[in-house]
Amino acid sequence: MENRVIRGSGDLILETEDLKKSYMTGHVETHALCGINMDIKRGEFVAVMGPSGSGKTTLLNLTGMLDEPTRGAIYIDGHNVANLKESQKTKFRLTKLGFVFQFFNLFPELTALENICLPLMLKGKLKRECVKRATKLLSLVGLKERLSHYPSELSGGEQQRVSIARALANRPALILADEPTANLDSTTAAEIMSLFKQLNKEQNETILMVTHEKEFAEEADRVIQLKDGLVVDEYHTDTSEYQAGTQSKV
Amino acid sequence: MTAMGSIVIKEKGISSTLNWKVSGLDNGVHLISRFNNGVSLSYKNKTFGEFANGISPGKEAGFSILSKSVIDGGFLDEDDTSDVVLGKEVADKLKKESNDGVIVKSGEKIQMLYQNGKKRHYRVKGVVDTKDFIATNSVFVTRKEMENVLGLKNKASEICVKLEDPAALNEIKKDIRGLDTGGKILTWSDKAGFLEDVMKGVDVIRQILSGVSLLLTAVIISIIIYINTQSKKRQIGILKAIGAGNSVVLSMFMIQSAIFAVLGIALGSGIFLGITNYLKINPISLPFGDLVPYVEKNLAITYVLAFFFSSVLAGLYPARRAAKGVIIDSIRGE
Repeated sequence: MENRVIRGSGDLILETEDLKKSYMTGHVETHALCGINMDIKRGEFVAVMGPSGSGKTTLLNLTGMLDEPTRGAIYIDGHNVANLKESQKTKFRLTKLGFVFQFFNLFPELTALENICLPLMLKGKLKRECVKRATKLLSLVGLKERLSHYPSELSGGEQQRVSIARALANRPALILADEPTANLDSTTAAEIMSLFKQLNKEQNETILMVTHEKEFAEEADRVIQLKDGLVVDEYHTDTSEYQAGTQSKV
Repeated sequence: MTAMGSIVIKEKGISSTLNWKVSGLDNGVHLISRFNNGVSLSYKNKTFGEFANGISPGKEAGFSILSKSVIDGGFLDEDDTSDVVLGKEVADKLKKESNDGVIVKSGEKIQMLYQNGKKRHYRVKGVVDTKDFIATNSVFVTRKEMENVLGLKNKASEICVKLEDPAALNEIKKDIRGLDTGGKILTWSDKAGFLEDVMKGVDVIRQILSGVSLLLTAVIISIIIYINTQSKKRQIGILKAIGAGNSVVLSMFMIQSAIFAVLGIALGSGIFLGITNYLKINPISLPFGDLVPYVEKNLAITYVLAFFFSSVLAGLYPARRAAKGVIIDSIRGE
């Protein structure tokens, strides 16, 4: 890859270096991120917390290459992604990243199975392989009975599970979740958090999750606290009480 | 079938030199002879200069559409000597000039003054409407009557030639020219040469309309695709976020444009064929005949291809805009 810069130890999946993002609102410049330095290790579950306007969603969007940073560098799996061409970014998003959105963002015209098949098909997988993988993932998130249901026929929690399964489709190096529980009731939100935790512990998935709920943030291994575009606090949580399930890696 | 045939061999006035050598032509060529004579027609104290044709009603039945174009009354019989049949335009003129607004119909009395000074009273036996301006502007009497009045025998002012195969028109015209029949050899388009100018005018209008339709189609498709890209902005953003490249989004909307184009062409062709078939059964009457639509295969294919490609190209701009949008803006619906 042209802009390839291998960074850090192989243990790090994500690094940001003095990451800045500013927006122009009329003639007024708003600084959303003012120089973020952040590392995430492979297999780590990190929560980013902060009040509204602290820059947590901006950080996630930059990390996912959905937006361009004003300054700074982002290294994913050792590659500086800020300098990649658009086509390279597309390939990177397809193969290295999985997105889980607050509003699920499933395609309403597609069934649960087809929604998960979509990223697999974009990667060029055969239909048979796509269906096999999508079925396995739906089974993993507890929706094997809902294969042919359309999003409108699923509850919010079920839609978010399909969204998580879609994020896992291409075995990404990093899952980026933007407030995945914000649109759910507390019971369903707890179930989704439990699923994330299960994926992290049993499947060794690396997860970067943005949330404004402390209760859910502390389910992660580490919490990064943002305020006014800067990291103001960072701490490890005790997740030793997690009870491992029997699920094997998919 | 027309009232005049495909080719007319014509002399000025009534000629004794016009000969029938043409009858020696191959099978598939039918002939009929007519007398043409200028007459003064009087009706309700008004006099009009008209063109009278002496015809053989029995022969005309198998040759022209005259006897089948009667719109009022009946047609002439071979031995009629006191009846005339009027072309529709002549009948309309008489009605207009008579000031009483009464349609000239069968049973009315008219008077005709021939060029040799002989005056005859006739009863209008019928009115014919052949849809062509030559026959509808004529008065018809039997050949027998005209021969009696003019004192002529076996003379003609025109020989009308009907071809079983209209495609052989120019070939037969050439053959007739070689037979030295005397008289001018005129085809239908020679006789009504202005028609060619009319058809050229119609063709220009058709081309302008086609261009405008093409432009309108492109604009409509472009608007539809633009609206679609706007309403699907969020989905485009999500699609790109999960790893779809610009080319995937672009091809998605280009395929949509192509589908709209195919559906439009299918619908348009259906409507066009419906109208064409309707007009074949119910042609538009024009002063020079019925207007029947004719579909030229190559032109139709050209138009179909032009519509298809212009529609697909019209979808390109909004599709490219959608494909190149910033992902996060698309997801936010901005």
